[in-house]
Amino acid sequence: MKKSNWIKKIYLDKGAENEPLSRRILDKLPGIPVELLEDIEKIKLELRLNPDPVAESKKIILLTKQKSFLRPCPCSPGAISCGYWTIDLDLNCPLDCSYCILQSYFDHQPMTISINRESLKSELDTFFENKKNRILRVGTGELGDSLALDNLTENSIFLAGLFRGKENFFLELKTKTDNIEQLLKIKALPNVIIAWSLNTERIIETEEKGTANLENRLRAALQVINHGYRVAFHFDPIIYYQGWEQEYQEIIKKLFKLIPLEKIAWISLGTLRFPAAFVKILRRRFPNNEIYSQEFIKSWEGKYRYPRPLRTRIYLEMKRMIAEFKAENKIYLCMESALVWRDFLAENKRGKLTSAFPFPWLS
Amino acid sequence: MKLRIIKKEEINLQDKRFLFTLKKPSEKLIRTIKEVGLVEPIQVIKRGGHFTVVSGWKRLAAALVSGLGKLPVLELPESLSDRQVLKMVFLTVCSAGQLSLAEKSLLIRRFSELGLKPAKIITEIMPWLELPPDRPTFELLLRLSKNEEILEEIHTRDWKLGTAEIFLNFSDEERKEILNLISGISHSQQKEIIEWLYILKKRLKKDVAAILAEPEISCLLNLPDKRSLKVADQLISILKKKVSPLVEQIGEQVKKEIKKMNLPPQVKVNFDSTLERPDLKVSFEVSSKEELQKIISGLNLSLTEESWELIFTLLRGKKSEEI
Repeated sequence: MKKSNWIKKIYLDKGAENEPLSRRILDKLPGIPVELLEDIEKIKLELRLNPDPVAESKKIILLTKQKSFLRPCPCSPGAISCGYWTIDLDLNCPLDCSYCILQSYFDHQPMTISINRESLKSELDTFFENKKNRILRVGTGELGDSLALDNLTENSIFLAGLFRGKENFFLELKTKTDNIEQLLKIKALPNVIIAWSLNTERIIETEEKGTANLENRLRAALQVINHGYRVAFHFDPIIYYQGWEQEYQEIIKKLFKLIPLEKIAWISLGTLRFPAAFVKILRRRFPNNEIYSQEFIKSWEGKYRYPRPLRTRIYLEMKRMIAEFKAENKIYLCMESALVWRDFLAENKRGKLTSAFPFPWLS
Repeated sequence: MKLRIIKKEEINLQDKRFLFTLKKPSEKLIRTIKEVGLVEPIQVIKRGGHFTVVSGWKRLAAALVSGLGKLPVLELPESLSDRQVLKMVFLTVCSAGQLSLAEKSLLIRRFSELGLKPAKIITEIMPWLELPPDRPTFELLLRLSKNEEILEEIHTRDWKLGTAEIFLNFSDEERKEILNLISGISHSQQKEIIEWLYILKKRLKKDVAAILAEPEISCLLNLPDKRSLKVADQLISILKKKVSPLVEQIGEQVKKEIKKMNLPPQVKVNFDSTLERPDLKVSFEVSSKEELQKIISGLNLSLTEESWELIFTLLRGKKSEEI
């Protein structure tokens, strides 16, 4: 995603044309048709008429203003929350992972870049003030990849500036790319964590179209570490298939061979899950995909997941592999039930389990 | 519009450019027409020297079965374009009631054959049909309409879009095989069989014929009443076990252990079949103290059995690795 040759057209929303960020982005994209937008319905219709609206939505950029950016991560109702907060500056993602639920989450939403990000400052000031006695994590990788468009937006530099001196608040930039150029232009901050989603080479190859390969992700992680940042890793979604243990073991070995343990802020684990509405899109867009032919149950909140005994087995196995490198105390589970958490923690934790955060090693 | 009486030979029955309904005339309609003739005229339009039926296919079929040689028709002005006529019929039919998925797909095909652009069909016709107005759905319905051999089944069993979409993912050969397997059973059974076969085909990397040739399934399909609802349920149960082996096997073992304990008949033991929750719900209804005493002592007695321990172990997923 370092090059911008995937962009077919840019729409400029009313009122966005004179914003400095719009100008900067347009300057970086010479030769790409630009149209002033009267009504978002025009783009939605254009996408609806395309044989693959999801793929098409990733080729169209909309520069627009958003009302607000900061919100608590909704997690999964009934799951143990990790207390995450999200900043949604970009909506939609140019990467095309087969398992990405954004495919069904957005209703014909183009790649949307918020050009009024300056107003995030006041939102964050209130947030920092209201939550000043807490340790919290805030990230931008929820409705898009944090760094996929960073060469255009330089959001990483902008956001890092907002978190400077706010030691209790961690900014996490989560990516599957190796777009770290902007991050290397600024001084690393202790509370800015650069995170990579990791998966086996087989899964990256078959399911994560447009992303950096494993080696490049790990190399990029090492580069930001050398620059002074700390990093995090997300094994999410962990996908169950014949031979998964060996292949995940291989990535874990590669990871710890390259990345110093003390530079890792946290590691999350989450097994494949998806809402029912997503299945239709998946079957249309990836008819030969095999990862959804495994055993799934409809869980408490209506999402499909592997059966609980299998999920627990996967988490415990991953924990065992990570423990070989003495990093098991950095793990948390993403969107999991209390029961799975308890089995995962075994006898280590007593009492009522309501939140996975703050992680003990951060306080 | 002109009301006329025409001979049946004047109608070109092969011209189906406006036909998209699949309902057959009922016995009652045929009987009525035999008794009193065709009271409500059929709508027709002149095309190429013959009359083409615009609407009233069901009545026409009943009239022909009843042996009527002359038919009352309402002739539409020849100047109307085919598209205008089809739109008129479609709006009339839509306002009168729901179309099945098969009929909707046929209607979309008719508009397409008459040269209406996909964008127009998607934005102007599909919302009327309460279909998602997007290109993938349009293309899916167009594909569906061309599989004429299955349209009637889809219509009769009132398939939903999701079932049809999965069905079209099978090869021609497999579709024939599945159709042969599921005709005559309920829609919900058809849906489950199609869904499970789709998953198994991918997981086992086998075609449908190979899956159905597995001994436990093939013996079922050789039964004389293979098209019965009961056999369909048995087939669904076998397929489900193959699709969800872990959950199904744990569930079966739990049920077996519950049965083994021979609990008082008033006691019901339920568990979450998805295994997300490991709790057991034990309930009973009593109408006297003596009855309550009897049940409690029955339950008490059961506590000496190993089954309870095994059930909780199974529900917590502790034995899943053995499965």
